[in-house]
Amino acid sequence: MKNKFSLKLLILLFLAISLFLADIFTGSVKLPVSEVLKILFTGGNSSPVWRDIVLKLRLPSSIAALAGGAALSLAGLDMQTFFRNPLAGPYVLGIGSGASLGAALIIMTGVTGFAGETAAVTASVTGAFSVTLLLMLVLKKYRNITILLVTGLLAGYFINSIVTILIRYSDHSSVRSYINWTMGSFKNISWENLYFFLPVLIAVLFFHLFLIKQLDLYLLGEKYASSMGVNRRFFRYSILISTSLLTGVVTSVCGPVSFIGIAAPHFCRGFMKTSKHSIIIPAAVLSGSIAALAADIISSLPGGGKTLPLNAVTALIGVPFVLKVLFRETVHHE
Amino acid sequence: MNKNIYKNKSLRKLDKNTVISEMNRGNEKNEAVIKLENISTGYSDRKNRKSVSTDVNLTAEKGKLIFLTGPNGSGKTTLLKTITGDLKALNGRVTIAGTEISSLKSSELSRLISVVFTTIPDPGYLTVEEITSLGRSPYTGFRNLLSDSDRSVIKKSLKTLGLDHLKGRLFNRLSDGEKQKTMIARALCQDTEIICMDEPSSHLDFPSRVELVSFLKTITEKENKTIIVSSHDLNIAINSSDIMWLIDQTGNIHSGAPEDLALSGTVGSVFNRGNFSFSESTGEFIIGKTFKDKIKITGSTIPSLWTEKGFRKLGFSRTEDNADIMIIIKKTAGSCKWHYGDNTFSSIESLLDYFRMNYHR
Repeated sequence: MKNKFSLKLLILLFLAISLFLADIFTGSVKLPVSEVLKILFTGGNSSPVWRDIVLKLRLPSSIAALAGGAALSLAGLDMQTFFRNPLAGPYVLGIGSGASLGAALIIMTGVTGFAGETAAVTASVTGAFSVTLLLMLVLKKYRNITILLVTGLLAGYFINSIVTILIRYSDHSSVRSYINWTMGSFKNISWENLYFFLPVLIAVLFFHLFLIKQLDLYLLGEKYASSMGVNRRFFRYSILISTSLLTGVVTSVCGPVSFIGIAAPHFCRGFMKTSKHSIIIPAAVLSGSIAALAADIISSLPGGGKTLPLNAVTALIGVPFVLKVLFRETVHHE
Repeated sequence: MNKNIYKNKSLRKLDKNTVISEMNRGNEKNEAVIKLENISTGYSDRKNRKSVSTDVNLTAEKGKLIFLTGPNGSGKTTLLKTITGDLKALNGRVTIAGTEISSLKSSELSRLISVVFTTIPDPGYLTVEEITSLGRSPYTGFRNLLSDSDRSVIKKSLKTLGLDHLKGRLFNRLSDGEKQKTMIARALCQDTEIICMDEPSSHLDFPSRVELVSFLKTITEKENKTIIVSSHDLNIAINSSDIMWLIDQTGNIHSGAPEDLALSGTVGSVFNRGNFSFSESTGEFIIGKTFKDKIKITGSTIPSLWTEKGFRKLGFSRTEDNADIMIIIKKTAGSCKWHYGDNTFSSIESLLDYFRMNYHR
C-alpha cells in the first residue's frame, strides 16, 4: 500500500521536474538546449543576452509557474476539504475576485517597484481574506452548501462591478495593464516578484504539517471533526489564513489563474485513489505545479513573440475536466 | 471546581476517582457517568432565547443502553447536543465522569464522549479501516502515527462490528447500514465511557436497524460503555433499551426502564393521539381505538395471536367471554383451518374478507 503511493508520488515528482526544465527550454526565442543547460548548471561563457534570457526571464517565470500552481492547488485542496464540496476552489467562490480587486486598486494607482509589490500583495491577500471570511460566516450561520456557492458567485459579481467602475475612471495604460493581468501569466516575472511569493508558500506548506490530522478529520464533516477533538475555531482560522495567503500572493504576482486550484486536487485524488492528506497534500502540490507548467508551455507554443492568454489555456483544459468531475459526483450521489 | 486540575495529564485517572467516590457516597451498585442537574436545554443568541426542556434531572449509569425517545420536535436532538457539549445548557450543570462539561476543551471532551450522527458523511477516497482509525486521533500526536496499542484497538473495534472483511473497502462503496456500522466502529475506537448517537438508524432499512441495535447491546454489555441513542422508533426502544428517557410534548423527561414506563401509562400518555393508542397489554401501538365488537378465538396460541391482530384492524377486540363472534382454529398437518359457524377458511385473508363483506353491525 505505502509503496504504491510512493511510486505514484515519484511519477508526479518526475513529471514536475521534466516540465520545469521543458518550460525553461521553451519560449518565444529559440535557444539550444545545450546552451541553456550550460547557463543553468555551469554558468559557462554563453552570450550575455542568452544568459539574461535564461536567468532573468525564464528561470523566475518557471519558478513562478511551479510555485503558483502548487499554491493554487493547495488552496483548492484545503477549501474542498473544509467546505466538503467538490466545486470549492480559490476562484470559484469569489475569493479570487477579492484578491483581484485588491490587486486592481494597486495596479490602477500605478505604484511600482518594491512599494508597489508590497502593496499589491497586501491588498490581494486582504481581498482574499475578506471574501473567505464572509463565506465562512455564511456557512456557519446557514450550513447550506447551495447558499455558500451562490454567495461566492454573487460576491464575485459584486466585486467585479466595483472593478469596472475603477476601470471607467482610470487612464488608458493602467487599464491595459490591468486587462493583461486578468488574463493571468507566469511570464514577465522578475526575481523581485518572488520575494513574497516563495517564503509565503514555504511557510504555509510547513504549517500544513500540523494540519494533516485535522484535515483528515474534516473529511467526515465539521461535526464529526469537532467530536474527535478538533478545535473548530483554530482550524477555521488556519484554513482562512492559509488559503487567503496562497490565493492572494499568487493573484498579485500572476493574476487570477483560473481552474488549476479546483481541477488539480481532483486530478490527484483520482490518480492517488486516496483522500488521506499525508499523501494527497504532496500529490496536490506536485499536480498543481504540473498543471501550471504544462499550461505555461502550451501558452507559449505559437512562438514568434506571441503567447496565448494563460487563462484561456487553463479554462479550455480545465472546464471539461471540472464538468467531468461534477457529473461523476452527481451520479455517485443518486 | 479548579480548572487547573484538568490541565493535568492524569485526567482520566482523576475522573475515575471522582466516579468511585460518587459511588461510595450513594452506596449504589451503579456508577453515574453523566449527570444532568436542573438543566434547561434550548437555543440562545443575542436577541432570542428559546428553551426546549426545563428542569431536567437525569443520570446515565455505566454500561446502560439508554434510548432517548419522544414525538418529533420534542427536543431529542437538543438534549443530545447539550450532553455532547455541542450546545451550551441555558441553566444548570452537565457533569461527565465528575467533570463539568463547560470546563472541558474539545480535545479533553473527545476522550470522554464519542458521537455518531444521523447524516452519513462523504469522505471521498477513504477505506473503512482508515475511517475507523480516525477514532484514535484524540490520543495521537499531530502526525497521527498509530502505536501498536492503537492498532489493536482498531482491530478489535472492526471485529466487534463485524467489519473485518470490509476493512480495505472504500467507505463510499458500502451500503448505508455498513457505513453507519463503520461510523460506530470509529466511535468505539475513540474509547470513551459514553457514546451518543443521534437517530443513527433513520437512513437504514429494518433488518439493518435491528442489527445495529444488537451491536449496541453487545457494546454496552461487553465493553461496559454507556450508550445514549435518540430514536423515534418506539418499538425498538421498548424492546432493546435498559433505560428509556421519554420526552413528552411539554418537554418533560421521564426516565426509567421501558417496562416501568409502559406499566405506569407514561408511554401511552406521551404518544397517544386520536385514533392511535399504546396497548399496555401487548406493548404495541394500535390504530383505531374504538372497538365495535368482541370476538373469541380458540385454538393454538400463535395462530390465535395473528388472527387477533387481523381482527383488530377490522375493529374487533378479543375477549374470553360474552363474545359476539366465535372463531375456532384447527391445526392439521402444518396448516390451519378457521371455522366460523358453518364456514371454513384456509387463510386469515379469506376469513377477514368474509367479515368485510358480510358482517355489518
